[in-house]
Amino acid sequence: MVIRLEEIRKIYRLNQTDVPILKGIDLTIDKGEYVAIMGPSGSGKSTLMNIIGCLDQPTSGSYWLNNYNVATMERKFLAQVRNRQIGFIFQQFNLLPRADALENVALPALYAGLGSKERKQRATAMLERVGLGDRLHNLPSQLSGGQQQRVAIARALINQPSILLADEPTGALDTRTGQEVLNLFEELNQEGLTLVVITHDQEVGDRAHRIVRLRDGMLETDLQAVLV
Amino acid sequence: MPWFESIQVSVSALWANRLRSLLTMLGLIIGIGAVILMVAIGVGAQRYVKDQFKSLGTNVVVLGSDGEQRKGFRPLTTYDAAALETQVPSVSKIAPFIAENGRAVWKSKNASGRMYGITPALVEMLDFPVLKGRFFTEKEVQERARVVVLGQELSGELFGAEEPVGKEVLVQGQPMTVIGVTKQIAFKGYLGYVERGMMMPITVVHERYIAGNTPFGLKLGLIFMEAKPDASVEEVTFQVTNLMRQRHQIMGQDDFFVGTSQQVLDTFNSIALVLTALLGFTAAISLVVGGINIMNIMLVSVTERTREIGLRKALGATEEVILTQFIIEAVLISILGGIFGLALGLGLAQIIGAFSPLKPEVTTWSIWLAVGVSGGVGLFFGVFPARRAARLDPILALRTD
Repeated sequence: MVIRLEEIRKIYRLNQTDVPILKGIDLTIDKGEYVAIMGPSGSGKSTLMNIIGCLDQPTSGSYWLNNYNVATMERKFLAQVRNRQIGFIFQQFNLLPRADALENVALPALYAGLGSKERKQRATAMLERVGLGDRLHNLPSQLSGGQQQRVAIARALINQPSILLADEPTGALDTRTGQEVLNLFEELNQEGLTLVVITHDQEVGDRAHRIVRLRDGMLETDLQAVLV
Repeated sequence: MPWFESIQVSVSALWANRLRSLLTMLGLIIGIGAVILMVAIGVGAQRYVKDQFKSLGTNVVVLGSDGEQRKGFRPLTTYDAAALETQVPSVSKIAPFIAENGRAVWKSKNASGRMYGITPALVEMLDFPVLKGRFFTEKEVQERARVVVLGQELSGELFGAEEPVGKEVLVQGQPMTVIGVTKQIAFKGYLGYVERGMMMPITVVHERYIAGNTPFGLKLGLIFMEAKPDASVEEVTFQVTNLMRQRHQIMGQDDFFVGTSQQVLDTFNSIALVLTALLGFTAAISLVVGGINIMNIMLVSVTERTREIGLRKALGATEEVILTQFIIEAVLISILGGIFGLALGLGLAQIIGAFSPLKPEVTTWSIWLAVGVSGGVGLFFGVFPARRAARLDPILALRTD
């Protein structure tokens, strides 16, 4: 079991009224699963993603990530958990514009304390893995949207995380390149990587093997796809 | 993260924003440049004056009047001068001196300046340069020859491009023949502005311009004395003071003063030190302004790079890592600004030195001070923006477009 969420609640205080965003979420994700978290805007899926990604902490409940209770961790350790356990993929790629592909991919390894030689080696291997072995020294502006997202995927993978957490990964891409990215996800999943994709796009959700639907801060349905 | 890696990250961030980095430094560059230059000018001025005094010689002693308004005051007179010449054994040469403001006229032009009554002894003692013509002789002093040596500036005002030597000017309405032109000698605190001088035999000045008759002889402004080669200035000072107290029958306070060039030098040095400190302090204020400038632009930079900071945090950068990165950026900017400022100050000092007699002197301590202060400024003013960056919430930061 990679992720276990128990009774997760998140309440924001807005103008002295408590606004509950998540109203008690129970969810477990096993190693090697490919899960889509779906829901309309305002359903709490972004908040849930932030909590799963250790960018935010729940108001109550417990969150076990690889048997560590991260719900009560200090911020300093959360940075390390994000660094080692979670690979982030964002809708807008979020590459550093003035760093080339290799430097962008190597960044998490820098924060993990790896030496420069090993960083370079690993980053090169990751870029080759996503099919950009010939684009090592291109700046993000010299790459297409699909290529940029693949650089971001290579960056997410460099510290060998437990899960890959993708937030609307195809939102900024056209259909064809979006499919390419999703194909890559599938390959990675077949290699045993746990994938969690947050999306409101049914086509993206359909590629996952399990769809978790959120509505008004609660789990609505949890459907396991039938593998053919 | 190791230090050199942090520095690498900061350097590449600064390099990526070259123009802004340079603009951030600008305030500090000017500030440091100003401090270096101002201190250099102050020190250079001190050196300049010291050199000027060297040419005057440290073996000259000046006797002047003091406390004219006190009861029982007696002015310096020609009799005093005569007595000093015969009765002070350590003095080799003596030169009486008197001065008064006056006006010279030639044709339609007129100029105001200062009339000096002097003797050739003073010219020898203080080494007046002769630009044109000559100075008067001892004989001309005794014969009360109506001759005048003009200061360069005054001469230029009256004659322009014309040859002054041999012309007859009216000094306070009395005709005098111009026999020479001189210029300002090295700093002569007691003399005043020689450039506008009308130097005449002291006998002529006494006869025609300054009556100065007293029961004790003809009044004098100053008496210059030169110590014998084997006598010290202290000896002369002591002997002169003794004799003058006797002659003026001093019971309480002296009605004269005995000055040496060393005393003037000391006085000047203490003034120059205060001035240097003042200049340096004024320039140092611009350093603070430069530091605030750094803080401002760093704050703007943090706001602008919110997304980058958020991303770095999401990818695992701890608060300390972000804090370190931004503090290093600030310190690097400041130190670099300090170095550029240093170059600016040195360059300006060179230029000023090339075009003016005053040679600015850049001192080692001002360089260390500048570099140290700039590093400190960066650290001090960099901490606030860096803390703001470190505490950014990654969720909000990533959401910012």
